[in-house]
Amino acid sequence: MIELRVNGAPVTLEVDPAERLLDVLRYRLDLTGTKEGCGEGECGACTVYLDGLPVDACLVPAYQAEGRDVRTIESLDEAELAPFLRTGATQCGACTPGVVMTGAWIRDHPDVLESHSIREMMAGNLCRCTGYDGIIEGVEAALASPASGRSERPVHAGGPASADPPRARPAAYAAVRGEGRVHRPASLDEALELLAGLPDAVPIAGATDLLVHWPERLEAHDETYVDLTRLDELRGHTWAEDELRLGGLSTYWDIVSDPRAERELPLLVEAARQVGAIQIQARGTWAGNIANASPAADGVPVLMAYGATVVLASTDGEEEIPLDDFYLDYKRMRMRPGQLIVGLRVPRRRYDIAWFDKVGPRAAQAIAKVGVAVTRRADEGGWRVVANSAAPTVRRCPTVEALLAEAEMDAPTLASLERALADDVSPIDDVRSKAEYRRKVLARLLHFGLRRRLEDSA
Amino acid sequence: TIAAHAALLALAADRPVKLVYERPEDMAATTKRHPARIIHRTGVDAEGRLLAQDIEIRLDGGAYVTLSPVVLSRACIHAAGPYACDHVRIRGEAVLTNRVPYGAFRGFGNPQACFGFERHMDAIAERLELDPIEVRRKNLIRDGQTTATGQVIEDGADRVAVLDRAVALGRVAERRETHAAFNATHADRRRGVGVVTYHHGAGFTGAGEVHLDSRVHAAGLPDGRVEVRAASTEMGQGTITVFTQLAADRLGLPAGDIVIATPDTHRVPDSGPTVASRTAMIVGHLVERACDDLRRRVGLTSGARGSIVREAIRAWHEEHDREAVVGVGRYEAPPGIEWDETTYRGSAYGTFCWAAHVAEVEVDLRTFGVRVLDYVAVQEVGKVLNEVLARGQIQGGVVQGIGWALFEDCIDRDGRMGNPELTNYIIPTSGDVPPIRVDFLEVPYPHGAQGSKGLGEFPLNGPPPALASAVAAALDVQPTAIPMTPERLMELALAGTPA
Repeated sequence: MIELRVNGAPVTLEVDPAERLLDVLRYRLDLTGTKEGCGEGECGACTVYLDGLPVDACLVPAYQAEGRDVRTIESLDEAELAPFLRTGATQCGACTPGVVMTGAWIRDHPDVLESHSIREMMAGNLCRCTGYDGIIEGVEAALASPASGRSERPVHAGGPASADPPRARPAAYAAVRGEGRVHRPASLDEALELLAGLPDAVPIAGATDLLVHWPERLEAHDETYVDLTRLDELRGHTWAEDELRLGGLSTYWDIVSDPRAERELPLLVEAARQVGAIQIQARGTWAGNIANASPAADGVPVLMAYGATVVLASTDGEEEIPLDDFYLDYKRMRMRPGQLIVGLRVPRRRYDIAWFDKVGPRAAQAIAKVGVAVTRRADEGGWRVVANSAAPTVRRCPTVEALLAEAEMDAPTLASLERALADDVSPIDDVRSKAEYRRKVLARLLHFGLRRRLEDSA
Repeated sequence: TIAAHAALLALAADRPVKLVYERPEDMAATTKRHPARIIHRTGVDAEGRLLAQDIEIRLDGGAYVTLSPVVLSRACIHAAGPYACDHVRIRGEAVLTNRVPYGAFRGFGNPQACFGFERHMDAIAERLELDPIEVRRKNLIRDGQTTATGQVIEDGADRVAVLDRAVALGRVAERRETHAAFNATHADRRRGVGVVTYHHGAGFTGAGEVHLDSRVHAAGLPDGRVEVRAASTEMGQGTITVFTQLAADRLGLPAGDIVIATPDTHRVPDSGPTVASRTAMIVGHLVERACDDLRRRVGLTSGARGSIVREAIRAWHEEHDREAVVGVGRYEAPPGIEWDETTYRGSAYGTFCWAAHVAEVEVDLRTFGVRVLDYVAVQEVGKVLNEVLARGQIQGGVVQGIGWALFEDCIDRDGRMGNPELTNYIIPTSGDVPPIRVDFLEVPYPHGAQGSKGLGEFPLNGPPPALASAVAAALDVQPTAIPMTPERLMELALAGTPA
């Protein structure tokens, strides 16, 4: 049994480990305003608020909603929809509940527009009909409406109290009850004990990777999971004198919304803003990005360029491994069974050159085709060049770094960078891009990026 | 289609059936736009005037015939562009292949044709070292001239004015200068502007509308309200709003007095399918006729409007207990519309819409990614029935076209779609597109509702050639294929340069 609040009302229900928050809302509580558009966290049609932040309900395991506050489109009153009706923000309507939820969130948090455009904030809500102008104008109209910033929403939960019988769940969902178990430890010690006894268990937190296409991936339902979301000691981040310490549950949005991060470690903010859109940034964790070990990870290159260290814990105690040395091969990490990433230490150093380029297939909601993070220490001049989507792991490029150390003030030529990269990376052809493109673009990002910055600093 | 599958299952099970596809199933199973290969050979005089056009169109028909013949037909009819030329040969074929089924997609063959003819106009201008806008201006059909099928265009629309309006709103001359300066001073970026103009036949091709023999009913309800019964489906394009507006305007009644029936075949007559940008123009016109007929049936003259109509309907019901009074609107071909299906001569469409688009892009020379900086769409649509809805159709169609031009690649993997998920089939987000600036020109079409012409599909046609033209200006290469993915542009731009 879990207890949560849905649209302000307490709800108690039993959930299956394989159920998503989206399934609970639609099929258990009859709150069908929340739509499923893709089941992979791309389209935002299932946007709801989880403890006040927009998230994709298709990527939230239902058990993680325990004790939390969930708000759906049904909690908005009609007056709040009016701005979107007049501007042509809706056509077929499939995206509309998600669009309105994100739009209303912006309306309630107008400060976010000091750093973000409305178009960036809305990029997690795909629309195939309107071309977005009507949506953007709808958000602008909502911002200008009198309720702006301080709305009192009437609350009505559907569900067990509602007179209608609950809707039948599609057969596919009845079939997905897996054999798997989910453990929900309440403390880190308890979690480490569990992991020590369950060497094959999968730690789960933001779930933005693990729940993608969940209903079709039946084999994933049979795994054993250790849910970390009750471990409050791993939440958030702290600024120590010489380092930023990210907790194991620290999210991208934690960093995006901390103005100090932008001042001190701007590449973290830059990378975080390019992870999905707010719905993913609010859920995805830095530690999860490392542990997922995708060569296309957005968070890892900037952490590596800043010389971050991974803090692991197990019942045997803590261990620290420089992120540089953490990856062994594709999806293989220097981690022993029973170990958990409990934090990251990011040194606070001065850099005179620091940039991150992510090359995705579009401006937001994109998996990197190739990317590079580059830093040069202001004091001692050491370079770090980190490439992603160009090798089996995110990795530093030592040959390029050596080339730069020799180059002094001039940017190396494209040809010399391409030669150096041939030693450092080994990109492949896949559904997202071509090896040739990745190789050439990586060289071009470095060449033009260095030209601009070395000229600036000259 | 999914509706037919559900209907068959319902018949077999003898109970209601609901069919839900997961998104990957939906993407894998629904028909795609036909890939096309188009070749233009054109004779021109020294001033760029078209003397003869020889055009070959080959569509990948996929594994099943589906709608390939009619998609090919529309592609061929539009292939010569909105230009006058005395000697035209167009040959088309659709070829069966071991690939996914291709079918109806917004634009229905014309988007492919439009990419061909507009890219080719740029090629002509380049070869003759003429301004591509001037070449188009010179060749655009004037009233009294004919299309490739011999259809005389005499609609009073000024196609040159449509082009000039777009060129002015897009500040093309000024941008060409500022781009030259920008490109000279930026090592890693290039800007360019592209201009296209095109046409789109509104409604069904040829005698299609005659065969459909569409009908609409307008029923007078006992309380004096009017119920419009038509088969057109509201799918977000605004059918309910527009039919309400048309009936209310026709009868002088407030919108609240008009009821639009749910298109359930038990209750509504056959108004034809909700396709081909025909709903507002053609079915809407039948709504008007049905309203006229209703007015006559309750004993009013054609000028009667407002409360008189409401009262007359009520009075009719008081005199006719438990009877229905239903006005009927039935399709009649506009006079002078003749189409010969065997020779492909005559009036292929009742009318055409006209458009000109201007795109401004910036290409990142590091990644060969294209960013759309500005987009102007000028559309001649007869009459705008509802500003918000019409603008939404154009903006949505343009952004869909931008996606097609830059990102959207249906990857074939052994006859299946290789990327049937939204992570890997890339459509634009709000962050990928600028505001789409839309302007309408209106020359009413006498046989469309309130003078309107169908506008839903044709905004899609413009962006691929407009963006290709802008990319060409930026990079000094001529893209001849879409989507212009960064991988393809890199290959094109770096061809011939040392590795």
